[in-house]
Amino acid sequence: MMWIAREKHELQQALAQRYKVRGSLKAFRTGVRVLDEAAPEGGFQRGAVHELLWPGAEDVPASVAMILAVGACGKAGALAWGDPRGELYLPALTAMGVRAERVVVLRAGKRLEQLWAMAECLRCPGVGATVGIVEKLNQIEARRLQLAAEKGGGIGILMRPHVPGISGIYAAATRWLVQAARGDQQTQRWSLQLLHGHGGQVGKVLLLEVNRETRQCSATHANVHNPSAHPFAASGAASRAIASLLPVHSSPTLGDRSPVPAAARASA
Amino acid sequence: MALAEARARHAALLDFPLTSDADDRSLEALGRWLMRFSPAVCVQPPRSIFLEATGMERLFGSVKNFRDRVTDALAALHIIASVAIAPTPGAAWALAAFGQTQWVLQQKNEIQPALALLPPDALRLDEKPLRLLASLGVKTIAALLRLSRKDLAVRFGAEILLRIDQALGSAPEPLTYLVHRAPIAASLEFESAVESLDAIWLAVQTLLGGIAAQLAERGLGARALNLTFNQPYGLPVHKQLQLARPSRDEKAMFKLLCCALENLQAREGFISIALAVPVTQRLDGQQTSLVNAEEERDAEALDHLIERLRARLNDDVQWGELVESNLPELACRTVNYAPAGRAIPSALRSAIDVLRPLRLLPQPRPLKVIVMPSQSRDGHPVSFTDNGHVHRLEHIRGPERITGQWWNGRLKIRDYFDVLDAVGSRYWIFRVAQTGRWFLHGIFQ
Repeated sequence: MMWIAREKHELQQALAQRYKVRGSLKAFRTGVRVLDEAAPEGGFQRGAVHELLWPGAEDVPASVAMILAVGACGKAGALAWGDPRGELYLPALTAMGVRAERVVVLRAGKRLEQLWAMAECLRCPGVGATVGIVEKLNQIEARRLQLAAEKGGGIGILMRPHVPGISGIYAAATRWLVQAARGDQQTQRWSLQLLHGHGGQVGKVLLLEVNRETRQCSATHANVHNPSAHPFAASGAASRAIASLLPVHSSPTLGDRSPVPAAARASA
Repeated sequence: MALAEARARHAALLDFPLTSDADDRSLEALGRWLMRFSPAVCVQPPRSIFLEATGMERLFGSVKNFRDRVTDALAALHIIASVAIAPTPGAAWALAAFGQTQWVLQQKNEIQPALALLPPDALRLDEKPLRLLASLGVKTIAALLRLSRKDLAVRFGAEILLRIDQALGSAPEPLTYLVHRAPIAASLEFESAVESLDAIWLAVQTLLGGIAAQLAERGLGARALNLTFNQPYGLPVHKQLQLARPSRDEKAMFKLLCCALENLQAREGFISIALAVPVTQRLDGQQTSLVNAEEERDAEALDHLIERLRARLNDDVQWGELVESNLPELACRTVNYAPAGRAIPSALRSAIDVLRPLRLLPQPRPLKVIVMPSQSRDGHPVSFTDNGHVHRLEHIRGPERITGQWWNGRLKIRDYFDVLDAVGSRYWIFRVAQTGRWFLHGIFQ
């Protein structure tokens, strides 16, 4: 009897631990303190879509999406990656700790099929993160993706070109503006700015960097008033983009999503 | 004789490892194929197949015709076989094994003269009694039968008597026949062409119900589904579905078919629908685990997701797989099904330690590059022009030399540079050592 009682106790403990872990999995941390602090409630929310906007003239910030996705997938979840052009290079993902066997590659070329496939992946609890590039999105599609993510519990990462008007429609929990920043031999840097996200540090610019030797990610706050350190100083379009977002920053209590697209359209 | 010795004697010797399992499987497959001649087929590995010939003379005209048809069919398959016909399995085996195919025995009293001159080996005896018989000088079955049964039983055991009786027909020899497996299929014909999609869905649901019952009866799950819609005039519409794990769940299969047939068009309507299960797998009752239930459920949900995606997107949904290769573009590929828990090849682990870009262009893009010192074949890049954009390079790392697969005739050697431009974008460019031309291969961004 003793033996059975001990087994039962162990089992209950295991279940309790599991339950506790599951409960705290509402948000995940990327492990980069400054980045997590900038996100709403100190972490990236699961069961939500997060958008990464990039100035259309540059290259897609796929590595930033990868950093977020790797954090969200953890050890068990699968990673779905929308890759219609067949450019995704799996060894780079493996180097970041995602086994190639856990990656589902979505090659659908048509926009609607890609969106359907992404929504299906988001709805599946076995998929930790779904990543895709979405050029155009209407209100219904954006909402559908968000609802799918809420059902599945994974995260969606949409990479969208930052074109005022086109990128105005979204239903994401957070939106970030991501740009390449000057790096050096050892590090690759991006500047990230939270454009939208309830309770996050909206408007603040931070620098995310990856050490290429150790593959460690770290982030620092960028000083907006110092033009030399400000990564957008060189680009006129980008600084206008920031200016258009200032109203949101100054009135975060509004808590409405509408000012962002409106301001973006006004500046355009 | 050892293999090496045999090879030394005959240089042109071909050798293959013994694959008894595969041989047994092919023998069973041949047995199933032979079911077209007789409904009762018994397969006895390693090399015997028995066909029940009772009543076959009515179908084939005579027993001899029956034997000839089987012989011809096997010859057409390039299978060297000796076919004999006899009233008992033992006698038929003896005639076939010793090539006495000129006999067509019909009556039990014909057996003894036919077997008289064959050696005792023809009675399917063990090695030990055979050796003993040989040492006693018993060379034919006729000689064996002249010995008294009592003495045989004392000297060799009861088995030899049983074998003799089985061959001569005085003891029964029960054979275990192959179970006839009808293909799992269901079909439905309409009285006239049906255009209403609702009616078609209802029909598909009915068919799935029938198939699920057949699968449940045999304890199997479907791994693939073949759906055929026949049109009154046009060609039939086929749709094949692959399932990641065996299933006989009607609802799940129906959902999957709905995904696959989302763009089904019934312009002229359909006159019949057929559903077949070409691939099945054993599906026993599922055990739920107490602690890891969530992980299992997630894995199952993932399998169902892949099925749904594949039903609609076909090969546009793939799993990643790493391959051992020194060429970066060949180091990974995508496969249709998830390789179950395969370990990463050892050499790849080191390859992963080298930084590789996340995006690798399927076709390297030609670039114009300014090199320092200029005109040098092994200088370092200073800036490059891609699509009219000039990228001034701030940091470069390299060259990393990757040789082509010279054993495949790909002799080009590439020198890769990991370059960072003034904006902060990082690229992976290479120069072909032989021609000096530059290409953009990957983007780290």
